[in-house]
Amino acid sequence: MTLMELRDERPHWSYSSLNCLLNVCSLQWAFERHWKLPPEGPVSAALVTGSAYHRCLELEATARMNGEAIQRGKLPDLFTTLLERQVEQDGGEVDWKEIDQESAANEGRRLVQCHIENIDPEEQVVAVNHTFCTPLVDAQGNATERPLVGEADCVVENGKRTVVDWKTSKTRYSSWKVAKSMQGTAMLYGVRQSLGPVDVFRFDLVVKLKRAPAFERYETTRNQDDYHRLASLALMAEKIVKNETFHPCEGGFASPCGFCRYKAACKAWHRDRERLISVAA
Amino acid sequence: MLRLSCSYSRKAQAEEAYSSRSYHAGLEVELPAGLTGDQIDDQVHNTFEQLRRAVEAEISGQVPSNGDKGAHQSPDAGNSPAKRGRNGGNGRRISNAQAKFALDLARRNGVTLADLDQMIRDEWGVGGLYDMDASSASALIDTLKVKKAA
Repeated sequence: MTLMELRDERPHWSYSSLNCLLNVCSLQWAFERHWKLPPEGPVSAALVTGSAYHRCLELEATARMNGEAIQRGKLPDLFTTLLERQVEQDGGEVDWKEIDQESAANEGRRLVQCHIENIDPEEQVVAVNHTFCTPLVDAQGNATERPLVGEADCVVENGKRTVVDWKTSKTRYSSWKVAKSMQGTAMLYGVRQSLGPVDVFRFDLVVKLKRAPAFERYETTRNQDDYHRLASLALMAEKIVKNETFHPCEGGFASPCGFCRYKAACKAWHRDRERLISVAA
Repeated sequence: MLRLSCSYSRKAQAEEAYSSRSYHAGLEVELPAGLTGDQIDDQVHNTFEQLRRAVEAEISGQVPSNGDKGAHQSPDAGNSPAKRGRNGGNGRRISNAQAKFALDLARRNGVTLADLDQMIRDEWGVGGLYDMDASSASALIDTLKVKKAA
């Protein structure tokens, strides 16, 4: 099944959903996924360029998996086409304030080029866009109401089996970020449950440096205790949702709020809360 | 004679922003005398599960047609679980409530998630719990109940 089909099929947890609710802003999570308010304003440029970037790498990895020839040199230009298509799909409603579309296309081409130059030819691609839907169970055997649903960008083998996530970023990752990454835990757990034993999770990161992009690989591992901890977090998330104890991230007016598409609803939250309770009662 | 009264209610989002709609259903059933504590526990879970499924189906608008009703089969119905396969029953996939109930029964029986997955692969020929169809899930729940009673 595709990720979209899995998402539509049932209420579920995903890495991004858990991360938003527990680590970013529970109110943003509630506006989007609980009360399902329509988002305000245009889609962020990062989201649109990220989709086109992923699509390029998907095509390359799928061709490698199937043993098909692909002209890698054409992939950077394909990025421009895919970006235009993605903008069309979003109805042209993209926030180009920080970077205009032409600059984003140029940058995207350089990022794709950097990624494909650093592909390890010895690695065998086992799966691309591998989806999973799996129970979450804590150390005491308590299961969540909703399963964990997700999609791993790529699974490769070269003496060990590795789940790979493709990323771009303005900065390099710290070892702490990689070691604590909830995405790493969720992806390793989901792929392990659906595809069998997996050894490593890896971020394949292209860093957007001023002179030229740089390619970095960050590997990390997880164990059963980490998976139990993830389930405990999901159980806690279900309590938050059940009790509707959502609140704004008041310290987050810098980064998380910058991308938030519920700013107006958030500003009015402490006034509309009473209305919500009275209507629901 | 024992009387079991179960109710289930849930609030769902209404069409208007910031508003919700309440759904509630109640069911009263008579239980035979002489049931053990575990058997009563099972009856409570079964009744509650049935109510919950009905309310969730009402909210989602997926109320089964008459043709779908009674499609649940036990493993003894002369149709082996493996033959029914994925979505081979009434076409619906296992619900979250069924999956949760099966996982809770597994926990109480001391069956680990790995063992449960193995059982599902061996008996039903699918990859995991959420790959099961609704009728196979009912059969799995029956199997886990039998394990518990034994």
